[in-house]
Amino acid sequence: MTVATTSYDLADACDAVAQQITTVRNGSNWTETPGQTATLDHLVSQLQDEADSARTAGVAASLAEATTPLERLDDAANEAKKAIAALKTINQAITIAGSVLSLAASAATGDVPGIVKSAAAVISEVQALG
Amino acid sequence: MAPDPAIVQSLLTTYVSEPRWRSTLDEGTDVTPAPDAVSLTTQRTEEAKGIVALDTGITEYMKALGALSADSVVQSSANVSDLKNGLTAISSASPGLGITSTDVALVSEFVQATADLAENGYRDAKLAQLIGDNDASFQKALDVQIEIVNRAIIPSINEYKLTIDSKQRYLRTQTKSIQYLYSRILSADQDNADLQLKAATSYSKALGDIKTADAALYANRNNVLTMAMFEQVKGPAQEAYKAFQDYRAAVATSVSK
Repeated sequence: MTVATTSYDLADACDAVAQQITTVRNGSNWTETPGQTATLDHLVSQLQDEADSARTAGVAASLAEATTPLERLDDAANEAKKAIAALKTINQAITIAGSVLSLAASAATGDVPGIVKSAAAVISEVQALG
Repeated sequence: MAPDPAIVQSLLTTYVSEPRWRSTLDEGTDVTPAPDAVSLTTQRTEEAKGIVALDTGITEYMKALGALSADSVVQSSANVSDLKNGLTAISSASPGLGITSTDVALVSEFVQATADLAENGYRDAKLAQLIGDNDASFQKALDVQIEIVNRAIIPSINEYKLTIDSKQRYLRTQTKSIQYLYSRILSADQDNADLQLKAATSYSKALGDIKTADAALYANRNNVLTMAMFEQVKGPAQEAYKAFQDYRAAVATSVSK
């Protein structure tokens, strides 16, 4: 039994009594004096106040339990993103190898516009790695 | 239904505002408004941020695993075509190198096969490791979020509905003009509460479905192509590469003769 569970149980118990009182009062045979009305209205509202407090405490306790798991999930998501980046780098390296060959081919034939274009491609691909 | 930040945000509005809203309704009646309604609202506002953060953590983790498992991550074909083009260009520019179109095709196919194999092996091993290492945290995060929704958010909406019910009974003792005005407001509130209740129930079910799916994924995490399998095929791949190198050397020797 955790703090959260106990708090939720308490809140549920308060709400159940409030609900029961309301159901009885809504019955067709129910009659009450003005004094009873004020007392019962007040009682239902107080029960709901207690339920609100207990429920709020329950959520605080639940969230405290989730702090460490949430940190681990954040780390795992970052690790997955790094793995994707590593795979992109591998593919980028293959592209660069192809571009370097194109540059070499342009250099071999003296194709100046081709050299400029191929060199620019290599530079931009290497920059993309960073 | 996948978790949706907008849904999480919307279903928290009742949880956050319910104490203050009920206190406001009590003003002007015989009932004493809750003394701590304002502080409860403040605390619940902070808690709502924590609940959204938990949902974001769950969603981001699933998205990251989904992105890593996408086929596009390990498809090297587009990159290999650059290599093929480069090889073709150099073989045309320098025929003396003796690189034939057969060589170009062989190298390209080999690089693609090796890259795909390495990338798939690395990716799948990483997926299996992430799922294995973080399953307990993921299940715990889902458990906490389900508990919050089922035991705080949904009861809070039901309490809101109960208050509306109580106030409608109270209105029957008031004048007809007041009855008309407030019954319309309370009716709209009732409809809004019903919608939020549906959203919260759907969200809770979605989290439960994710929990079940994750348990199945965890149980089968070692059945995907793992690094162990990659290690098994790495040897033959290296042998194939060596054979190709030998072939190139043999071609070069025969050309020089």
